[in-house]
Amino acid sequence: MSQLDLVPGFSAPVDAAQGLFRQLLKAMSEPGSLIDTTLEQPLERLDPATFGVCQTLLDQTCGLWLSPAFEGEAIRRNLGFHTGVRLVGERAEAQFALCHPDDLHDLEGFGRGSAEYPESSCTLILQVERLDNASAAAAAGATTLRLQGPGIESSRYLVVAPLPAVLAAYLQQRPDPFPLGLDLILVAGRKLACVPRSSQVEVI
Amino acid sequence: MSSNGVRDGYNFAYLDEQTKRMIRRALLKAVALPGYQVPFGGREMPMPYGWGTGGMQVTAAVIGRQDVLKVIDQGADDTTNAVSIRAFFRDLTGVRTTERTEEATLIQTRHRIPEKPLREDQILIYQVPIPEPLRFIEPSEVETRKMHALEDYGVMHIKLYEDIAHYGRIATAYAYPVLVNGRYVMDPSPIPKFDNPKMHRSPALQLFGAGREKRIYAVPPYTDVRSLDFEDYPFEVQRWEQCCAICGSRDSFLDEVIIDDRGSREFICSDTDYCRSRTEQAVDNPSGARPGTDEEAANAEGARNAC
Repeated sequence: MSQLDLVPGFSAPVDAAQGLFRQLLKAMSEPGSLIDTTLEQPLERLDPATFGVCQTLLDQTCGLWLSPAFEGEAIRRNLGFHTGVRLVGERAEAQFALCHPDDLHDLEGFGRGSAEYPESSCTLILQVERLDNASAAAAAGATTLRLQGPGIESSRYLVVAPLPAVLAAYLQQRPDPFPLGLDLILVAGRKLACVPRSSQVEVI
Repeated sequence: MSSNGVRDGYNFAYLDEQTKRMIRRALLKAVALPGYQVPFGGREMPMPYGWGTGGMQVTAAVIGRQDVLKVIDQGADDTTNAVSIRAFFRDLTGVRTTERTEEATLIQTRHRIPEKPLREDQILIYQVPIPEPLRFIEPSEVETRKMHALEDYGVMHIKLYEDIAHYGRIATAYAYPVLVNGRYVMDPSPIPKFDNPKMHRSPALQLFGAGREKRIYAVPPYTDVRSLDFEDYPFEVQRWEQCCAICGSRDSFLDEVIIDDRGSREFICSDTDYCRSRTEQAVDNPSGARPGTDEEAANAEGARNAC
């Protein structure tokens, strides 16, 4: 890449960031609910919703850990241009981590927060191939999650394809007792859903 | 005024985008940790601390052009604090404002929860003066933080017990401490304890902003919110022998109003929208009893005489 190949960011940054934040707020406060962001602009291997979440949440005050699958000049330079985010090499320094399922062999190193400051934990943004409601027939490689807890009236189902085994185990076992833990933003294409640490998760 | 309804020279909703992002990140952590106070870089707002700067910053970070905003102060839409905050956001966002609880998507409130039940996708934003429920007992932030980390909440019950020892009942009437999702003790802001039961498993999202203390916290929809109490002294809310002098309601939170210099007094609903909508219904339907109320309150005039 000799020239700086920039993809367009939000065309109306103030309104678009506000709109997507409200969708994220709904998704995080109503875990498992599937949101269609209606975004269309991808950034190379980053889906439209992933790129949108980055533009909405990241800036120069955040450290972002990039999955090896997303390493590359185009993504680095565009994220830098549109958000000013600092890329960090160490997982422990990351406030946000942009993850590809193939790269998540373990969750070592991502900050879980401390008992006094649980909000200092890392937020994982995991880009998967498909997110569905439970009504959709679970295809091969898909994992159905049953969520309960704050933000959910009784229970809610979310189908994630693919969900890394290590993350499925983490969500079920919750090795870090609440209030410690990782918060999860799942993105696929234009859709997103969240699984905060307060949710009790069962893999069905 | 520019073409998009925002006062010239200002960003949409006053705050700059970087500040909004910082508040938004804090809000997402707050909903992931129900009842936990997330520190944030509170900004100076064009009004003094204590007038709702925390609530305003939260509102500024979430509000969009599609929103319909309602602002209440002690339940009323027409008091100084509510009028000026509503005017501020009308001026700096151009969004539609309303006094009707059911029409609003965002409700910023000082010290009340509306009487009409809230629904999903409504957001209630509280202005909070002192977010730390343990602060009156333990002045050190280092200590209170440790107490939250260790779930060391025994002192809260001692405070309520002292009430019982002094007065024979729990006398705490507002800012009554609650336990959120079975984990964090939270100050619900100085709402009357009458409103505490409305927080429990509310379908609406509840956000709290404390500007001077620079804390944000949240209660997601359908989250358990229990008021602290004892088995033999269970939590109870205020009750009045009187009914509202305007609409006749016996179910709403009443304010006592002195009406002359001889000490005569009346009780009226603190929620002005609730009171007005009941009066309007009575005018539309003067003979029949209103839905959801008892037959005593047949119409506004009759109710007035009945009080």
